[in-house]
Amino acid sequence: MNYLPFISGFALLMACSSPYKHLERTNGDPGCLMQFKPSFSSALYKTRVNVTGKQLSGVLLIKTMPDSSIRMVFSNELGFKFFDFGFSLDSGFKVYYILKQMNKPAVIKTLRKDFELVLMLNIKNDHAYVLKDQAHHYYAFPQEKGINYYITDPGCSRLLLMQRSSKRKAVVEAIMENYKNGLPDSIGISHKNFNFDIGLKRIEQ
Amino acid sequence: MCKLCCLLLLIIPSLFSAAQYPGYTQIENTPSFKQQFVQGSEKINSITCDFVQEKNLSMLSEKIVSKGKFWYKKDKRIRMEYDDPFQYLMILNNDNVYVKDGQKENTVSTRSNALFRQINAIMIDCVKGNFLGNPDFSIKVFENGSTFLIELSPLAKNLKAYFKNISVIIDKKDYSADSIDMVELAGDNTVIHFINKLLNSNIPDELFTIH
Repeated sequence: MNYLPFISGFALLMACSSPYKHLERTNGDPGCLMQFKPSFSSALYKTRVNVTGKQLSGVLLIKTMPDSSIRMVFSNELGFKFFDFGFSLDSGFKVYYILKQMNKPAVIKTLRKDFELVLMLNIKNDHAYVLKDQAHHYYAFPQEKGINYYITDPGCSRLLLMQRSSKRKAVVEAIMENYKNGLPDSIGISHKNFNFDIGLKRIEQ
Repeated sequence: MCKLCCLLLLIIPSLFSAAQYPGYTQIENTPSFKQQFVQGSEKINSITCDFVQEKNLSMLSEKIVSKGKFWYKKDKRIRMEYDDPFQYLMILNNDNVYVKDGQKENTVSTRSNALFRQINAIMIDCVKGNFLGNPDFSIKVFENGSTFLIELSPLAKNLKAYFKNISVIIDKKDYSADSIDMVELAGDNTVIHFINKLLNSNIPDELFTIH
C-alpha cells in the first residue's frame, strides 16, 4: 500500500526539528474537521498488520450500529475472528471478542487509541486549540495522556496527517486518503516507537 | 416405569440433536457408517472446484462473501485461491502453510503452532472425509436422502474456546464435502460451499509447491 512512504517522508521532515516547538497559536474552527470524519454505515477493508516483522492479514468490517456506536470486526481471510470491538460516541469502548493470543491490556489499549484517532471520535473537545506553521494547521485535542493532532492545509481543505503524540513527539501517525462517498479508500497507521503498522484498503462488495 | 424413563433418556437427546438439522435423522450405528465412509472417501484422490465462503456476523446482521478456486490432492495438500472481492492464496502442504497476500508471502510450519496445526487438520479432514478419527472432536452423524451431515464438537481446549461446533455436509454419491459450517461460540459462523466439483482429475503437483 502506497501510504507508508508518504508517512515515512513526512516523519523524516518532522524529525529534523522538534515537531511542535516552532508552531504558534492561531484562530481556527476545529469543526472544519468534521468533513473528514468517515461515515462508516458499513464498510469492508482488506487489512494488513505488521507487528515486529510478523504479518497478519484479513478483512476488517466497520459498521455504524442503530445506536450510532461503531463496531469493528477483524477476521482472517478464512473467517477466523481476531477481534470485535465497539466504540460509542461518548468515548465508551467494549471488547466483544478478542483472540486469546491478542488478549493483553497493552494490545487492546493500543488498538483502541489507534482506531479512535482515525475514527475521529475525540474531536468534540472543549479544550481543543489550533496551531500553525507556514504550510499547516494543527488542530490539537488534548487527551487523558498526550494530544491528538489533525494536520491540514491552512484552508482546512485537505487532511494531511493525524498524530497521536506525547508532549514532545508523535508516537503514532495515520493518514486517510482518496475519500469516496465520505469513506477513505486507504487508511494507514504507523507507530514510531516500535515496529507496528496497520494498512487498510477498501473492498467493494 | 424405570425402564420407560431410561428409554426416554436415551431417545430424547437424539431427538433434540436431529431437531437442530431439519430433514436429517441421526445415525446410531456409527461404526458401520465409519467403515462405509472410509471406503467411500478413500476413492477420492483429488478435487477441483469453486468455493463460496460466507462469514455471518449475527449481531451485526452482516455477511461477508468471498469466492475463489479450490484444489485438493491426496494426501495432505490443499490450495485455496480467493479472487473475489480480494486476492489471497493459501496452500496447505503436509505440515506447512503458505500464504500470499498481494506481494507479501509467508510460510508457517504447523509443527510450531498448535492452533494452525489443528485448523490445518480440520481443513484436510473435512475435505478428505477423514475427521472420524480426529481425537480433537466428538462426532454425531445425521443423514437425509442425498447427504450425510457430520457434526464435530470440539474436545481440545483451544478449539473449544473458539468453536461451538463444525458441521460438514457430505454427498452420499461420492463422499465428497458439499459444505463446511464453522459455528463460533458467540453465534457467528463461516460456511464454505464447494461447487462445480470435479473429482479425481489430474492436478499438477506444482500447484501445491511451497517455495
